[in-house]
Amino acid sequence: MRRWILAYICAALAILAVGLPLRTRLDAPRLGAPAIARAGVAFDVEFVTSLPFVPWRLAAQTVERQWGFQLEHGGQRILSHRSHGNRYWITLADPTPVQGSYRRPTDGLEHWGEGTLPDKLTLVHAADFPSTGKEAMLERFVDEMAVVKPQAFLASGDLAYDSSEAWYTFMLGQFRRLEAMGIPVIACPGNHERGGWARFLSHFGPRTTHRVDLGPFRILSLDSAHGRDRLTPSQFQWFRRQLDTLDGRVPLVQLHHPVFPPGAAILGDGEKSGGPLFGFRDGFVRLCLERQVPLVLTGHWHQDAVFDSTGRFRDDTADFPGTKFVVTTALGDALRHVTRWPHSYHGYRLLLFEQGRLVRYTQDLPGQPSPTPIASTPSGTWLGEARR
Amino acid sequence: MSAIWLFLYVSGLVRLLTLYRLDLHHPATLVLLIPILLLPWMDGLRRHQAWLGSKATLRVAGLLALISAIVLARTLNLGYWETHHLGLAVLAALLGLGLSLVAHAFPRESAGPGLWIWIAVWEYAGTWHPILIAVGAGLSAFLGGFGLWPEGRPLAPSRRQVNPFWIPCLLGLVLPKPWFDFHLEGTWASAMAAFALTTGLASLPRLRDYLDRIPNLWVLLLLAAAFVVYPSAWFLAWAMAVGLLWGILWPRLPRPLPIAKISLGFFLGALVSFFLHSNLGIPFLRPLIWWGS
Repeated sequence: MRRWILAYICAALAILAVGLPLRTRLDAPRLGAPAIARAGVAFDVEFVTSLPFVPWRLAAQTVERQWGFQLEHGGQRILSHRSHGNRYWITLADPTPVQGSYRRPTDGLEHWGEGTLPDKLTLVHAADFPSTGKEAMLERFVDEMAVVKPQAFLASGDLAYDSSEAWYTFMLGQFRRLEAMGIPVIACPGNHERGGWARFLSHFGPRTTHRVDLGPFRILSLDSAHGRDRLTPSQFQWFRRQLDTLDGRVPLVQLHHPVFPPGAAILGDGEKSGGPLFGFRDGFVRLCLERQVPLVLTGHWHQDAVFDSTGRFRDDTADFPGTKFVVTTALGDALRHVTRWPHSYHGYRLLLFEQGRLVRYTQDLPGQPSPTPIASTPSGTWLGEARR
Repeated sequence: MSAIWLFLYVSGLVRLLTLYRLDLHHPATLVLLIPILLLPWMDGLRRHQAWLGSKATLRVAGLLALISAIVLARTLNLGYWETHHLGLAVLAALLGLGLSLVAHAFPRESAGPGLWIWIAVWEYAGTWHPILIAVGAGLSAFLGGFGLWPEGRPLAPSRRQVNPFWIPCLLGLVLPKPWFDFHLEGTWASAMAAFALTTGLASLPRLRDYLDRIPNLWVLLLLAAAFVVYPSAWFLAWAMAVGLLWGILWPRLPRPLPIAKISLGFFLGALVSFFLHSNLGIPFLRPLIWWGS
């Protein structure tokens, strides 16, 4: 074994050469996966260092310096810490009471203090964003959110058809505008993020599957574009674990790919809009039913659709029992006609809840019954009303 | 050195290909693939250009591989691979070419678990960041090029022989399953470390005497079964089983090791594996891919 000693000494030196000076990468909370916690409730800050086995104090100082926040400030205190190799988890809590719904992040840490949320909550869901050349559409959407004032914005993938840094800078700027309005952004990747995967990960961090607790909800974001139109075993296990430990919260799920195929509702070739979810679909649907998930939010088809848990296209009614598997139209990318549903427009989906119970997820359209099944909210609806 | 080339470099490259989706129309992709594309001609090149095997060339190759690996790792440590970045592709290609030259000069493998423990250590370092595995490849090339590679007794080939293309191809089908399962989580690197460690375990003399008696067919059937049966929650046990099977097959590959055949077989197997895991819409394929999870 003595022959190997030199090799291992060189290995240690090489790792030092790579890792020095010490740097960090903040993995959670990040934009798109914020930590939302009530006063006094603990939340984790997770980060990795460029060298393993660094004393946690030194690691913590480095992450603070590099990412521009203080782990302990105001009333916020470190409760505990743990590490594994070069990965660190620091548990924090801030007992300072929060005025209003939220206390927004004041530094580089995406920690939202949760105050008293109203009994009637509004969440907004969108997917398939506009791209370069249509920046104004995204700006108008953010303007509209100032009118709608949802408690959170859920973005289910295909945020960046253009993976250039210029687009990311613009899009993140719009997300920051939402945050400045007191609207946390909860995002997951779609298939188009794979085109510039490194850039997406740099801006949103490597936790592409994540959990955000908000008011009565546990919002679970999945990465269905991992590979192609599928979940993987480890991701499915993670999903099951989350549903096993809900702590009384109502689970809401978002992923990019629709869970079911259009089936008999397909229009022509469905404009070759591709995937429903292939891997683990049956188990996924079964879990959603068993754990009473009210809503599974998806995009990808660029047209609205709603399915029940048997995979039946529900253009007959908006009100049916069990999980609603919802597809929301494109916020800005090209529209398609995938199903027999006759309406196609750019839009987003308003989700209304009362005391954690879903009361509305469709928008009444002129000349249609109320509540109109399937329909999302056409872009500009609320902005137009506010102007009137 | 062939094992280093295969498990610290080629497997890392395939993982990169499958994770970041290389654009085949982009020049950076071609640059990245140069060390693999050159493989079929490496033996001929070395025969006709004797200087490629000279001490000085190997030293330069080893040094270049190490420097490229360290620069690459300093750039990418904690970050993500921008696959259109030509500079990064050039660094990866230099690392690959350097290691390839050294590996072709020293195709012999030593008996005993030392080599596999070394591979396991670097794979484990991949749990900190995957690019550190490339540092292991670069450092191995450096040690080999400068004659510092810890050589032991040469590995005595087994009486039983296996095909040097199709058997690595089968391994290429099986081994990447944790990559596709765990994606950005470092967990796949622990599986690779467990795999390498158990391969090393199989090379312990007494155990090898026993394992050498197992017929090829049984080992291959079990390895093929590991492609279908993948219990995600028991990924370490699965990786150890695959490692043990590979530990049985490794001495059965012909000696001297035909690096090009082995590497191209593994490369092809891993790409086919990626294709199969990414196309679960194909009828009948779905239940065969993640059975046991």
